[in-house]
Amino acid sequence: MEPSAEAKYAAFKEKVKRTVYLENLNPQLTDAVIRTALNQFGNVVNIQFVPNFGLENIRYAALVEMGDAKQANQIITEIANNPFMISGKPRPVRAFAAEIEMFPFHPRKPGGKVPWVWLDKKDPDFEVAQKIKDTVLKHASEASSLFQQQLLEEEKTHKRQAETLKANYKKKLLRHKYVILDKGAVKLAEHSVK
Amino acid sequence: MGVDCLEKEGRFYESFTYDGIEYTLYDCVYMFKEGEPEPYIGKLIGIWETADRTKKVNVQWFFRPSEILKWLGDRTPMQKEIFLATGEGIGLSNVNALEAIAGKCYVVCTSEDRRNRQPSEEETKLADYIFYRAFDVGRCTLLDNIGDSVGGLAVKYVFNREESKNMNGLQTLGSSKVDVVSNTIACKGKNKLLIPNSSEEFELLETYGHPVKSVVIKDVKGVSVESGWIPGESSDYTSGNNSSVFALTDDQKQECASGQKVKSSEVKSMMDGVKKVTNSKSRVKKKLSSDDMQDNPTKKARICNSTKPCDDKISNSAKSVLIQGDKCAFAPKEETKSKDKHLSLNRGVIGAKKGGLKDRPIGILKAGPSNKAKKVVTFNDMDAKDFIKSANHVKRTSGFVKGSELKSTSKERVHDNTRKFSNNAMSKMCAEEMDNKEMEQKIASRSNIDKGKWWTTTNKMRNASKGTTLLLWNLDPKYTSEDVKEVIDEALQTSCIAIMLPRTKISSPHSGQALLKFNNTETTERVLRKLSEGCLMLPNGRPLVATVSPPLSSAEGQCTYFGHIVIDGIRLQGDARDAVSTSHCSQPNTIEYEMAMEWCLLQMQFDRCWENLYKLHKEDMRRLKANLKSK
Repeated sequence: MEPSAEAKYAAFKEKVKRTVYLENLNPQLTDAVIRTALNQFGNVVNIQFVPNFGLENIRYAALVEMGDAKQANQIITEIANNPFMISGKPRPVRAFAAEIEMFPFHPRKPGGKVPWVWLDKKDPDFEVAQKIKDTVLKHASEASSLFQQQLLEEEKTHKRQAETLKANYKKKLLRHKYVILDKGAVKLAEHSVK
Repeated sequence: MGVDCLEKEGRFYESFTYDGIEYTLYDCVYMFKEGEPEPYIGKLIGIWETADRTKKVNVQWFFRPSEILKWLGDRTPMQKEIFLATGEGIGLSNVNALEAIAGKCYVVCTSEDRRNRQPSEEETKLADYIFYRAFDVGRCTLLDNIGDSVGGLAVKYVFNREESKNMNGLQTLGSSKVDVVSNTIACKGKNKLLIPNSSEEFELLETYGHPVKSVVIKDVKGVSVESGWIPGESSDYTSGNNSSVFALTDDQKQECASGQKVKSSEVKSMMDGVKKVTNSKSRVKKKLSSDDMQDNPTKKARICNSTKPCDDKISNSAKSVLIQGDKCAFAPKEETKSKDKHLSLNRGVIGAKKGGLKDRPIGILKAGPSNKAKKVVTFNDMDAKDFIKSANHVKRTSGFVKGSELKSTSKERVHDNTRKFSNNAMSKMCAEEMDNKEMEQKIASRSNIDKGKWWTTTNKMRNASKGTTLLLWNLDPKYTSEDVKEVIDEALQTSCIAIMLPRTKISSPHSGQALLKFNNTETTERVLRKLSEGCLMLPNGRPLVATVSPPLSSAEGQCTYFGHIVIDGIRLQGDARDAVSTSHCSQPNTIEYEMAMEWCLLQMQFDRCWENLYKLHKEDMRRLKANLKSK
């Protein structure tokens, strides 16, 4: 049994090397879109969306397995250097080298079970452990609030950009109108500055 | 300016003193450029004086990550990492007037090349910068391995200077070759040397220090020569051990003999000095430890910003030393800054803290001057950390009073929206009891159309009826779902379904979570109760924490996603129609590009925030776990 578990694990690790973790995806993205988008970098073997269990602190992300590690690295470098957008303008996606823990249900590292022990209440470590538990929750709430803050900032950015874009678009419409409909350059100058 | 030594012929120098700071060949220096926010960092590879008495230095450059971002790609540089220039071409090195030097820079080479003396952890911590890679200016590539010469510079001058591992001559006590005996107590890139002079008082001689530079320090006990920078030996130091030793190459020793500030009379007093040094050290050490806590503010204020030389000359007690275990000099630096910047905010904050957070009225949240608080998160470690501190502040659960890091200098960043959110959160937090440890979770799920044999488990989870799911915290992130299931089933006699939550870019690197589903509500409640009242300990000091998780729905809901802007208009519609999949790289001449850059920037800022948050968490945990007697 062991050898095959080892082998499985090794094979999985190899797969991880070839996989790109794509983040900040538009939730409306489909498999096909991503595939087309990343096909320019190489051969997309498999796309796995990271499941979201309805918890906060989760972003829409996907694990894209490429043909080989080199392609994966290329994607990562390219996306790091240039803002790459997949069906979500103008928010670029982010790409990272995948790690094994990013895969839901990754195979276990062969090495035996996890030992556990119930602490006795009289054990001096009990108090400390309780403190640790409190801290854990505190950390959780901190992380959660940071995430909320991040979402808020994103929302603001989004709104701001939307405004800018709308304004620009209005100007364009205006120009369009005046240039096409009315050849008056003077009027154009007057209005397009607004 | 004093020129200390002359080589045999010509006007080349091996060291010089400028502006009170002593520099030796192959030292790293800051070069200030008008208009640049940050100084350049270079390595002195030549020092000379021209015929008309102008002094020149030849400097081989180090690149900051920001200067070679384009060729770094995805590889994030380490903190404080810089890159040595190599290859041929423009940008390798330059000759500059000596007066352009702005200070000494402490750069440690952390390359694992066996020719490199591995720096100690302390050394690395206290260094201004580290490097282990080179950047070829001709080919514009990053080189991980260092060959025999880096841009013409022999490797031995690239790596950390070899310590006296090779120098047997220095190992004997009382060797006449030794010129100076001193303790070095470093303060972030600076050496303070205590030099015994003939009157046996200790004077502080400041040198700025690349290790292994100007001075030779003997090992007091004369047993073995320790290599390295005194801070590296802080553990020895605190245990009352001896000072570390710097070794000089032969030429430098000659230099020292001829040109150092140390007078020859001091050599004689060396022996006595050695003994004195030991005494003073223990004295200093005691003084330090007692003064440490009180002096913290002063000390912090004195931590030199590495871009400008500190010029406090302190007599022997060297109060500004902060080499006390893990409270490394860096943490205070940041805290100092934030403290200075936001002193006025602290008052309100401190009041709140003492009151006990459970009862903290919302009013205090508003107390901080909002003009300062409304600062946008800037691309700055400092602010990220402050933000985290304020976030901590806002969301602290009742009664839990923490150690100094978060408390002492946290400032309130009152953001309108944060306030609103925190108000809600606070009231919710207040409502919870310590026993239950309930947490609100937002439901934002989305559905997937996916195949995979693991999907059935996930589906089962999703279809869980109300009250049968729990969230398990504080797991080792390397565990798998099977591990978790085994542990829970055995420890609690249940048969559950466990799903280890996959890691994301914003999840904690040192703590993982899992979802548990039980068969019915009774079991769930039992488990929850047992886990909160008792302590189920996993290895490495991890007690498990369970909280109630709201039922997960596989509804069509979506993760909150911002960033996609659609305008009903001719232009964009046309594009959308034509494109099969709208993926592209944005070109720099469009509005889109600017907006994309904004997103990138925002993302990077928050990355920093997350990094810092988790760093703090790690520290918290580490400190708590240190109290565990058994692990």
